[in-house]
Amino acid sequence: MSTRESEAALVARARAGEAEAFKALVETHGRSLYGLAYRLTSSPADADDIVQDSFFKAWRKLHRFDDRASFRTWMHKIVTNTALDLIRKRGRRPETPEEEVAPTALPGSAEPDPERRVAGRELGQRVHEALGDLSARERAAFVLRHFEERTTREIGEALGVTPNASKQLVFRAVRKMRASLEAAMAPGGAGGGR
Amino acid sequence: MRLTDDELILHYYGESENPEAVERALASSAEDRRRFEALRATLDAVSEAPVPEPSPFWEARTWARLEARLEPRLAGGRRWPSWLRLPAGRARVGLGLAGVLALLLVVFLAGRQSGLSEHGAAPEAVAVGLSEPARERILAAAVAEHLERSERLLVELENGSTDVEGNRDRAAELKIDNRLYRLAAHRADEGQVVALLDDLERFLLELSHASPDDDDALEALRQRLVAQDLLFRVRVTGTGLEPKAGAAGDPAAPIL
Repeated sequence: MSTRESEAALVARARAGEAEAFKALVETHGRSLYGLAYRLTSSPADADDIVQDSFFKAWRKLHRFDDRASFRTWMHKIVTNTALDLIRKRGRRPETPEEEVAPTALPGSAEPDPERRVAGRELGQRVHEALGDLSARERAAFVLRHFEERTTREIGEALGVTPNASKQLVFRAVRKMRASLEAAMAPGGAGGGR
Repeated sequence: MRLTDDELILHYYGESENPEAVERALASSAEDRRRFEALRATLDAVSEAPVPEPSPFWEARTWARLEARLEPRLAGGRRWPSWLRLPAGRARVGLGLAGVLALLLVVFLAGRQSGLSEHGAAPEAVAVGLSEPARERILAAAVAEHLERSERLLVELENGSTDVEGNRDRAAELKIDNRLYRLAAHRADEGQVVALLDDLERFLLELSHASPDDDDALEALRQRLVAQDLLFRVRVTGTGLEPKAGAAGDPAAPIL
């Protein structure tokens, strides 16, 4: 049985009210959704709540899920909307990270060395500050494009805007990210090739 | 002709409409190559920014919290008592009705528990023409509404709301309703709900007497709110009473 088929079977069982099947879906997709929610909010606590709320919404709306679609993509849409909803309700941009970010090990190294740990933390902080300068929609578009590798067409669908509008959101977001990061990254404040 | 920033961005993400043309332009222009490398360096660095790892038990914790919220619909699992369940697609009862309905239903539940209605001793409230399921639905809606209002107050308090007088008034109002619901739950022998409403009532009572000048007392109240996990418990119970499928839109539909 392929992954897609087994996932479809889990969804079908969950839809029938089987908790264990839904639990398996939560365990399979939870961490990646947490990563998405964190990038959208910069807050571990908010990311936690968003993932919770999103799975709860998914449970209640499983009957509407199209079996031909990917459960992962559907969940990512729900998480994105839930995060944007949270940001919109608060009427402000996401806060800077609440907790010190512990860098994960890079491929090929089991434990990040202290220097890399510090560099990773600083980079993480800068990236989160730069993300914090984006509007909610720019941020969502950027996170979906850059980290989730969604096309601008898919981003448009997720955000409810035209593909061209989603493209413009990505362009604006990248420009702002560059403006924030290049000055910090290049000694002497030299920017990139603009 | 120089490539624009937007063209370079699309090329980086593999969405260029004509990637061969962009490659040719990059090959023929050192300046464009420099600009593209600068863009790539920045965006590659963004990719390396770490995301904090959730705790090793994150999945288990997430599921435990989630399971509590899913409980009413889990097959074979423990379910909410019938008087706390709502049918699909029903509308919420208006705020102003909550107290009146609570009174009515306290009487109803008291009557059901003691059998007074069968002996004609219960007040007319039992015989207002509503079926038992209808009365149960009304009570569930009233409790849900009450918990939602309480949750809003608790969230504001936890977030450091400084409107002490406003919060005090709201707490005093909620306290009255809460007492009625607690009584109803007690008479229906719903121990878990009674325990929650009991804690909530004590909290509301203290908040309703809070002094705007006593910062320590307010801080102590906030700490108790966290220590008792009151907000979470109110939220979980309230969620269990929310309208089910069909009452809300597609969660994956765009909100913007």
